Amino acid sequence: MIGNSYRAIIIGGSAGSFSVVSKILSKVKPGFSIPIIICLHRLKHVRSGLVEGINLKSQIKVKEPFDKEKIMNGSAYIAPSNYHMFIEFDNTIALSTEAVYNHSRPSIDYTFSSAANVYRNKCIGILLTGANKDGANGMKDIHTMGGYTIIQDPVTCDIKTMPMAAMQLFTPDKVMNPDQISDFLNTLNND
Amino acid sequence: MAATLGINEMRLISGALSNRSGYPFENFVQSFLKRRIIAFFEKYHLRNVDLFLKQINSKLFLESLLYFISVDTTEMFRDPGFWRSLRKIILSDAILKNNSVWFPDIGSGEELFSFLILLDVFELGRYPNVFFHHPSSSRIDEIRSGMIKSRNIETHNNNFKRLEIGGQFEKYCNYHTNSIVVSNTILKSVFPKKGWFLSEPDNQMFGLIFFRNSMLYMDKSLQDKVFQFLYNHLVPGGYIVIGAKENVPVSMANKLLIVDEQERIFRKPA
Repeated sequence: MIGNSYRAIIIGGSAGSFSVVSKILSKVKPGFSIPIIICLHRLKHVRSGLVEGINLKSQIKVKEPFDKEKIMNGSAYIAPSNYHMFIEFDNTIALSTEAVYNHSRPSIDYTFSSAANVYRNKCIGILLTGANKDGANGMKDIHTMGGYTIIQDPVTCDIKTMPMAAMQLFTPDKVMNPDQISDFLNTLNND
Repeated sequence: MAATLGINEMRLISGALSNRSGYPFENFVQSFLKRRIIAFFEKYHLRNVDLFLKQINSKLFLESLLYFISVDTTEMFRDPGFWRSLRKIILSDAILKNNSVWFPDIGSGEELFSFLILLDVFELGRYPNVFFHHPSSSRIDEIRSGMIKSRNIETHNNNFKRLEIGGQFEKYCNYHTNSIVVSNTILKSVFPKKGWFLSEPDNQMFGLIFFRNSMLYMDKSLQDKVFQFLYNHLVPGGYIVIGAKENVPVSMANKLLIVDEQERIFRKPA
């Protein structure tokens, strides 16, 4: 059930997801105020370029957060390379160099599960294209906590392993293509 | 099924752990500590907190816990840009030739070995004394023996190549049946200390302190306290390095000079 006053939108993706995230952020309305927290699998030795690339088209400012950074309305945060990214109860971001999880650092499951724990039914989880199962359990956690879940339509995915893995665990609220996802976000009351 | 721990249980655990180990676990980020403790519960098939609190009085149990709870360094030469920047300092500043180096909160040996290999590649002729702290005896033994994780050997090697400093990483590796160890020639000036660095009154001063990605796991009050302590142990003109996504605590920010903002290298005014 779609409600108002969502506190955060959490997006995860892997192979092929950069262009999808870039497209979504280029289409959200300027001034979109709900924080967007993004965890993408990325090369761990390449620390620059991703944020700069997304910011070229994004309607809202995207940044790589520092540890313990406050999550602010109107901003998007993308997990830094080679760090796990967690959401804390004081609405800050916690980074970690703990072991890889699901062969990944950052792990989408970690970000999603921590967001589910903090925001409960006040968050929207969006899982995009990807080549492994990371993110599926985290999305299920968001679903279990009453959050709203959207999975990229597998037919529009470069690699559908990730969304299919999530759909085997639970039934998402919506299955959408990237254009529908950005249209949906623009319908949210985020004053 | 994953273990679960509530707030009150975590308070009991962190309090008991602090008392037994001398480490200020109550001032660690509690979500981090919880992850580590739950993973420990699962690894050792612990069923409940009471059992944990009973066992923590055993030296062997505590040793296992302290070995397990610290976060391993992810790889050698993590953040090659940082090491390239540090290289310039090593080559240009005599302060590192005349002062000791300290790793106050080492996780595993990879960061230390990276630094020692860097020194060796440059053939500086004289190694500084290098000190490190860790709470676990068995981890200290591993580090002293030069043990590195074989599963990451390709990552170590690739990071080394990205430094573009010449030399061959493989030259520093000795391959055994089940492990890889770094050459003991680079470990000759390394001195371990067991325990929490902040609890030991020590007047030793250092020219370089490595503190990368340690503050991630501390709350802000502990960060303040720790950073002030480290600052006090830097010689004038000495360097302190932190993780790529960490900040110097606000209370200390104007006491340090920025050497390389992106690579998080700072300096105490001379």
